[in-house]
Amino acid sequence: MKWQVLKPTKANYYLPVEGNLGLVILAKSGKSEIIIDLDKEGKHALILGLVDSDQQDNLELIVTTIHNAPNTHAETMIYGLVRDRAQVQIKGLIQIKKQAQRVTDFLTERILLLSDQSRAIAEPELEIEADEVRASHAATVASIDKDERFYLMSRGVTGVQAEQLIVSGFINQVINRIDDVKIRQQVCLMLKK
Amino acid sequence: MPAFNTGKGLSESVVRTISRKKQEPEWLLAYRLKGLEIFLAKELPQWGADLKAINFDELTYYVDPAAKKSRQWADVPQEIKNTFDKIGIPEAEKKFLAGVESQYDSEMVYGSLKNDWADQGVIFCSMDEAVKLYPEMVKKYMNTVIPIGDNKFSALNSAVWSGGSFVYVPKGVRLEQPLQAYFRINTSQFGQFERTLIIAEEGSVVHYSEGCSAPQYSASSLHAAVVEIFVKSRARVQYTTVQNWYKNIYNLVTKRAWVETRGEMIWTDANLGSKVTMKYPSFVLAGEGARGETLSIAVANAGQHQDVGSKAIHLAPNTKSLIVSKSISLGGGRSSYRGLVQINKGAKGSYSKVICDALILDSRSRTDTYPKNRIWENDAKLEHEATVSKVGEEQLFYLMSRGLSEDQARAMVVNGFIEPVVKQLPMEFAVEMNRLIELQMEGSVG
Repeated sequence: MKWQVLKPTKANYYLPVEGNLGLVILAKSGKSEIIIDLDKEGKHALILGLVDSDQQDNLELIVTTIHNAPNTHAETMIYGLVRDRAQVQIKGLIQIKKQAQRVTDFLTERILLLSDQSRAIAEPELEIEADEVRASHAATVASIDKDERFYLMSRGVTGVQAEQLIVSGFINQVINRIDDVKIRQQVCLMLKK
Repeated sequence: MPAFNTGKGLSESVVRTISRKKQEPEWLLAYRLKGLEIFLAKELPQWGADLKAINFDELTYYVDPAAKKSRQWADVPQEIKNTFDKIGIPEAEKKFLAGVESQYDSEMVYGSLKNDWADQGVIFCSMDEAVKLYPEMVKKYMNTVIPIGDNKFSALNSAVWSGGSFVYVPKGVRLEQPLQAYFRINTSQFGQFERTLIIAEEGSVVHYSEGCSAPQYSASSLHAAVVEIFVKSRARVQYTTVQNWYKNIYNLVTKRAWVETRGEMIWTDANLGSKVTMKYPSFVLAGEGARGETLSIAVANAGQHQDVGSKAIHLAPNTKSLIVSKSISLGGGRSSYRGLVQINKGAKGSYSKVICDALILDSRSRTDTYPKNRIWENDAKLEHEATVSKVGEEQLFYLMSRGLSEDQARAMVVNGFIEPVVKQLPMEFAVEMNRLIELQMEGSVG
């Protein structure tokens, strides 16, 4: 799998999948649309999105996966942190065209609202024109689970530390999917900045 | 003698004629004219199903129901007659459903129930009667949860509505039997532009059901109804629709409920017929602890587009919503789920769960999911999930190894798929629903 790290700075990206693609999207604010085109038979794509918005950030991220060829497979995970007064809008569209039989695609969007002024819009969408497919999506929007926080605090960490642990556990679910050590380290460094 | 109608096309004079014909008060005419103005000013929606083929100038907006002796039994399409036979509709109902008789006399069955209702202070009549008998109530509630200008088709309905039901359930009254619009006596039933208003006072319980699983034949090609429901504190309203319009009809319906403290609104909605349906039953959870639930089934066969879903608006703390949608696409049909969950700032402790499952039965069909989840409150939780799948080869193989034909096996899997929603329907609907699914599956290629 060939990995690519993308920090969107412009409105549109079009990525045709030549070999098997691993894509990491790191986003904070602004509006961008990323189209992943699976137009060659037998290709795989793993799309990992990490969104971390704070202050007055306003982010709109659209990730569209188009299956134009049969036997193509994709998985998308987009995890978002929304702090302060930020607003995050994440749209994940899976399109499976008529000729694209024997396709699988799964999309997960998870958004954590970390302040009482933070807001989120989740729009997971599906457009399916073939029948030999398995596709699904799931989205959740919530704040930090009070039970998890309580459990950690009962083990002797402070409330702030407990929240930090939960947030890093949340992010690590995505980072751990990167099977290339160099890329993983690079992403971790970029996130710290 | 030809029945009175307003002729083709829509204009201010048509709206005035309808209002005059019904001897309506001045305020209602004002509502109608406002509706017309908004309808003419608004563009067709840029989203959802394709509505460009509707020719508004070719439609007739009002036909006098008393004179609507429309059709001979011989004119009813054979396809519909066959379906009636297969799902076992009684002879008297068949003619009514096919539009041969404009009324269905069910006094024998429902006479005693009617007296029961009246004793408890329940009002169940047509909207036209309600305007005459209870004008203050109609004026207070009408066009409030769905404003006239909500959308192009609610505006059209506001301008030319006719027929529909008015239901008032007094404080604390719990109705055991569902109110069935289908059996309502001596009023025109399936108007093109029905208007329904349901008011459930504090602590009352009512189940209203409309439509019918048998195909409803109608020569008119547009059905645009508006349904407004008020669920007061601790009341519970269930509204069941089984829609099986003939496949020439555009069914564009606006339905919304206003739910107060600890009230509960449940929409059970099955869409089988029509050419195009756009319908998103909604609830506004306005009081603390209010609950809303939508359970829907859509079947899109050849030439059909079912663009249906639900909207949940959380305004108050600790409100809960559940939306379960099951859709089936076959024979080149298209079904789309379109929905909204909005959790407003201040709706602390609110929870919403949306589940959309789609079954696609052949390579000519299409299925879409377009949900929008807007969360403005961080002390709230939203969960959304959707799956698309086909009937598995191994499921079919297993059932066929037990002696079922392929069609039977397929129908059984599909019936199992919609089972969670069907079991919430009144029994007679549930039985007919399963038969209808089997009918749809007949000869469908896998």
